[in-house]
Amino acid sequence: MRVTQTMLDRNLVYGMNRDLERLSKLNEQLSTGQRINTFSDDVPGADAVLRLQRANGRIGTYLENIDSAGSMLSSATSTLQSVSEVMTQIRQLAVQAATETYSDTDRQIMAQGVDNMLNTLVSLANVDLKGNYVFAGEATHTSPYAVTKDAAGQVQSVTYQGEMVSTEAGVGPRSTTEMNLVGEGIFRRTGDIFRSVMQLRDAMKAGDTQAINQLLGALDTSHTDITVSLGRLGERQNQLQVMKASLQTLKGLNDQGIADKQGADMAQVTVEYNSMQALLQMVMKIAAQGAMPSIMDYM
Amino acid sequence: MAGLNIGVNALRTANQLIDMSGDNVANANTPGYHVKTALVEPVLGPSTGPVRIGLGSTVTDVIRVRNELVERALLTHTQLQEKLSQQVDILSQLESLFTEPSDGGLDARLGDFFDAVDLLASQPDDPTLREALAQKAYAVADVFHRLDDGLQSVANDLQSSTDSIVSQINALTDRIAALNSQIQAVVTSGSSAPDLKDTRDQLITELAQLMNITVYEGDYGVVSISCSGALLVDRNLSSPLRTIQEDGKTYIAAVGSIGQRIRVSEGRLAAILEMANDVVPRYQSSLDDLADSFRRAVNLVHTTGVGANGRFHALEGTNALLGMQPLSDLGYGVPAGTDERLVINVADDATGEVTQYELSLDTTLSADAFLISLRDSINANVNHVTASIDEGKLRLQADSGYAFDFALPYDPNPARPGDITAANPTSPSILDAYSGDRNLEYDVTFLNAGQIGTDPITIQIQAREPGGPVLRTLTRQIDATYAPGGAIELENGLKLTLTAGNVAAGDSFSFVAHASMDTAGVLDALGLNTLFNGLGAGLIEVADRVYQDPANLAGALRPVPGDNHRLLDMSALRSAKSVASGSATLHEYYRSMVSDVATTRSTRTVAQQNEDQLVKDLQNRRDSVSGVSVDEEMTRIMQSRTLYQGALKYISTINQLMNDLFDLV
Repeated sequence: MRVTQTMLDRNLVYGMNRDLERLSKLNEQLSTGQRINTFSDDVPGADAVLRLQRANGRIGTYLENIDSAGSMLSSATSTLQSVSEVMTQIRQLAVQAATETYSDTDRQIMAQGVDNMLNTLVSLANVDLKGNYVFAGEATHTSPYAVTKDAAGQVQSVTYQGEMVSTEAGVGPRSTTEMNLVGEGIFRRTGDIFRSVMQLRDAMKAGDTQAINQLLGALDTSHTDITVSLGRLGERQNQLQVMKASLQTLKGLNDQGIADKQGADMAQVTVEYNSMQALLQMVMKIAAQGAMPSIMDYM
Repeated sequence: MAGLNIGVNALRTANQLIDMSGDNVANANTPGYHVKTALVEPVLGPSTGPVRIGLGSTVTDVIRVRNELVERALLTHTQLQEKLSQQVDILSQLESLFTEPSDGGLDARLGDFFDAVDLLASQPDDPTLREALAQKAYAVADVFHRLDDGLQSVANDLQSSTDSIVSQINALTDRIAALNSQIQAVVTSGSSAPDLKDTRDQLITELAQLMNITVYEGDYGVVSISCSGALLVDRNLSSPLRTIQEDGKTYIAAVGSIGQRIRVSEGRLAAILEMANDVVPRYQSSLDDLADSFRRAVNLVHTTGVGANGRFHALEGTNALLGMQPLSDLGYGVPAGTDERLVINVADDATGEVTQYELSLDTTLSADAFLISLRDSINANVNHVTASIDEGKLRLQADSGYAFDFALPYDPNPARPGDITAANPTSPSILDAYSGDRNLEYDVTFLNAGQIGTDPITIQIQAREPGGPVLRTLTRQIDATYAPGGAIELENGLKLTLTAGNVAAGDSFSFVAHASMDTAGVLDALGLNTLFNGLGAGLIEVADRVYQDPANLAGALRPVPGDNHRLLDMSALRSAKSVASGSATLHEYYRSMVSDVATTRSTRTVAQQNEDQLVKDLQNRRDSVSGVSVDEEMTRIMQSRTLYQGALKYISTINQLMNDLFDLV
C-alpha cells in the first residue's frame, strides 16, 4: 500500500483525539469522584441511583415523623405517669376518708384536696406540646377538657371538646402512627376518671363513708385505664424504635447502593488516568518529532 | 535533422514534470487535492521513407489520480458520519437540560414535594411546614419551566440552524454549477481541468456533510447532483432550496416548487430536521403530559379539601372557561360525561349544621354553556351560596353566616328533626374519611329503645347504592361501657358517635357517603381551590391564593387543625399510576423520558465512533491512491532532473556534431 505523510498524521490525530476523550472522561470522574456524571454514563445505574435517592428522601421524612410521634408519646407517657401518681394520692385519701378515724371536718379538708387534685388531673389532660394539645385528637388547638365550676369554685363537670379521631401520619411505606391522642380513649376508656373523682369529693363532703368505699372500685378501674394506656403507649414507642432502627438500616443500605453505583473506584480511575496520560505523552512525542524519515533527509 | 527539436522537447517535458511535482508537493496538505500525474507521449516525427523517427516527448495532459469506488464510499459515509455527529451533539444538549442525576433535577424536586406533604401530614396546621410545602410546590413548577424553556430554546436553535444550513447548501450548489460551466469550457478546449475538478469535488464533499446527495458524472467532466430524486445541480444550473412549515414541522422544498417536499435522509440537515420535527416535540409533549398529569392529580385531591382557614366564604375561579369547545376538550383532562356530579357542602357557621347539595353536570357542553348551566344550577339548587360569572371565571359567594366546601363526603350530622323520636334525643354524628370506591347510602336504625351509655342498644346499619337494594347489613352493640361521644366503627373508615341522650326503638336516620365530590374534576378546570394552575410544563404554577397564604393549602376533609386526610391522599399520588393513561407513576414516566434521551445518545455515540473510524479508514484509502507522497515526488524530480541533464547533454552533443560539421566546411 502506498503511504503518505497525511495518512500518518491523520492516524496520529485520530488516536490522540480518542485518548484525549477517554482522558477527559477519567478526569471528570476524578474531579467529581463519581462514575455517573450524566445519565448516559450508565442509564440503568443512574435510574437506580434516582430511585434510591428518592427512597432515602422518603425515609428521611418517615424518620422525622417517627421523632415527632416519639416526642408526643414521651410527653403523653410522662403526663399519664403524673396522672397515675395523682390517682394514687387520691386513692390514699379515699382510703383514709373511708375509715371512721377521721372526722367530717377532716373529710371536708380532704374533699378540698381532692378537688385540687381534680383540677390537676384536668390540667394534665390538657397538656400541650409546642402549642398542640396531646389529648385532643385532630382538634390540636382545642384544649380537650373544659370544666364548669360552681359558685364556690368547685368543678361541676368535665366535658371533652376534642375530636374522636386522631391525626395519622406516615412512618413507613405502609404504616402510619398517631401524631396525637384521643383523650376520651384514655381518661374515659372503661371508667370515667373525672366523674369518679368528683363523686369521691362529693361523698367526702357529705361524709358518706359507704359511698366512698364503693367509689374505690371505680377509682381503681380508672387507674387501671391509665396503666393500660401507659402500657400501650410504651409498646407503641417500642414499635417506633424498632421501625426507626430498620429504616435507618435501610437508609444505610440505600446510601451504600448509591455509593456503589454512582461512586468511582478512585484507585482504579487514578491508575487508568496515569496510564492514559503516559500513552498520550508518547503519542504526542512521536507527533512532535515528525516521526517518519524522508528522502529529504538525504538530499 | 530534428536533433535540436528533440532536445528542446525533452527540456520542456522535464521542466513540466518538475513543475508538476512541485505543484503536488505544494498541495500535499490541501483538502480535496488529488495527486496529479502527467501524461507524457512521444512526438511523432515526419515519415522519411520507410522509417519514421519520433521527435522526442511532450506532456499532453495532467490528470488526477483517483479511485472512483473509494471516493463514492467516502461521500456516502461522510453523510452518515455528519448526521450521527449532529445527532449526538443535539442529544447531549437535551440530556444536559435534565441535569440528572442531581439534587436539582425534576425527580428530586418531585420527591421533595411529596416528602414535604408527608412531613406536613404529621402536623397539618404547622405554618412553617405549610410554607415549606408551598415552596417545594413552587420548586416543582420552577423545574418544569426550566425544562420547558430549555426544550423551547433547543427547538428555536434547530429552526435557525435549518435556515442557515439551507442557505449554505444554496451557496454550495451555486458554486458547483458555476465550476461545472468552467470545467466544461476547459475540457472542451482539450484539457482535463484537474484543479477545477478538485475544487468542485471538495465543495461536493462539503455538500455531502449537509445532506444526502447522489452525484452523476456527465460529459466533459460535468456533474449533476440530486437529493432523493430532486435535482440540486443540473450541469451548470443550480436549483436553490427553501424551508417550508407545515403543521408546525419544517420541510425542505425546491424554490418555486409547489410544496413538494424533498426527503432529506442523511447529513447534518437530516439530523436537525429529525430532532426539530420529531424528537424535541416528542419530549416537549411528554413533559407537558407529565406537568398536566401532576397538576391534575394533585388538584383532584386539593380542590376537594379545606385549608387551615376552614370552609370558604367566597371563592373565585382562576381559569377562564370561554368559547364553543366542549369543556372536556379544553385540555384540563375533564372526561366527557352527561351526568357527572359535583357535591357542595354548605355549613351554617353558627350551628355547624352541614347541608349537602349534589349537582348534575354535563361536561360535553361548550365551555360557555357549561359555565352558565353550572351557575344557574348552583343558584337554583344550593341555598345560601350565590354563583356569578366574571369574564369566564366562576365566582362563589356564601351568604353571611354560611360557608361552603367540596371536601367532606357525607353529612356529618345526618339526623333530621324527627328522626330520633325519643325524649331528650341523642344526636348522632359521622366522622373521618370515607375510603369506599363508590357512593353508598347508609341507613342506621336503633333496634331497641334506651339511654346512650347506660342501656344495651343494638344498632343496625344497612348499606346500599343510592336507590338500590341493600348490599349488606352491619350490626353494632353498645352498652353501659360506651362513653357517650365515643367512636363506633362502621365501615370504609366511617365512624359513628352518639351523644348522651335517648333513642326509641325503630328510630333511624340515613346519609350518603360520596366516593368522589367532583366526579369529573371540574373544580380543577374552573381553578377553584387548586394548588397548581396552568396547562403544560411552561405554564404550570402554584396557585397564587396558596402561595401568598399557605394556610389555604387544603389538606383536610373537615375544618379541624389536625385533619390531614387530603395530605395523605396527596402523598399516595407518589405511587399512583397517574400518567400515560395510568401506565406509569410520575417518577417512572419522568425517568423513562430521561433514560430515553440518554440511551439514544449512548447508542448514537457508539455508532458515531464506528463511523468516524470508517471515514478515517476510507480517507486513508483515498490518500493511498490520491494523496501526495513527498518522497515519491522528490524521486520524480530527481528522475526529471536526470532527464533534463540528459537532454542538455544531448543538445550539447548535437551542438558538437553541428560544430564538427561546420569545421568540415
